Amino acid sequence: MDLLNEKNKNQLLINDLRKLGRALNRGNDDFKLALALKLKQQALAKPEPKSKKSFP
Amino acid sequence: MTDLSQERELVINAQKNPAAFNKLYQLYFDKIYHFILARAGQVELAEDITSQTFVNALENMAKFRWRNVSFGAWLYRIAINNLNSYYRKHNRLVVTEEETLISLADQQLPPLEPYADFDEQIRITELKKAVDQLPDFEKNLVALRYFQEKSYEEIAEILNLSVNAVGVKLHRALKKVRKIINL
Repeated sequence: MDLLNEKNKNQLLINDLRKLGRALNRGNDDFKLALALKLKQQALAKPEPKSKKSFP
Repeated sequence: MTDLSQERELVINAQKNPAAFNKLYQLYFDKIYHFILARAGQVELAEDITSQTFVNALENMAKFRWRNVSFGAWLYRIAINNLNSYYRKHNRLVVTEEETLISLADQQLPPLEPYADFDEQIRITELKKAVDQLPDFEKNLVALRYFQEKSYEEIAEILNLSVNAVGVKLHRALKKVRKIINL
């Protein structure tokens, strides 16, 4: 009986944690776009990865 | 969920051409941002740490190898390192009253589903406060498992633990939360 009670309480807690997770998952599209632009500029400014040296 | 071979291809492309990092960013932004927001509790701070995480990833793409961890796990590890580093630097600082108010305002949860009653709102808000009282390591575990819906295997990879250890530590964390909220 106690074990069942424990299991139920754990399940209640887990359900509430999932609800909390959904409540916390707020979108932030403006920031997402701003950071994408920042990374794009940074990527473009990055030197090309070194390729095999070609010897004359 | 993207399969690993597709993700591997995106990583190889981004290693050859940094501009292709954008695809990986699109794939992972929401997951990483939500994880950091759940841990940081403040939008502005979450934005700073998310930004730092993706900049670090872009800068270190050439060093990334598939040997030990997947790209996703690697990103989470960078995020956790940045969170730890932030809290190490700021733990000893005295938070001003104004900052406390900003932080509290930020932590007001948005409404739950429309059918959620007031009692549920209160219960979830108290639960948030209880999770915030856990040590950082346990907050990571709870956030990854219940906010991000990661499997034990994925969490083990991100936190560099055995799958068994994830189960044991998560069980302990839940026990602590139950004690705090008197459940």
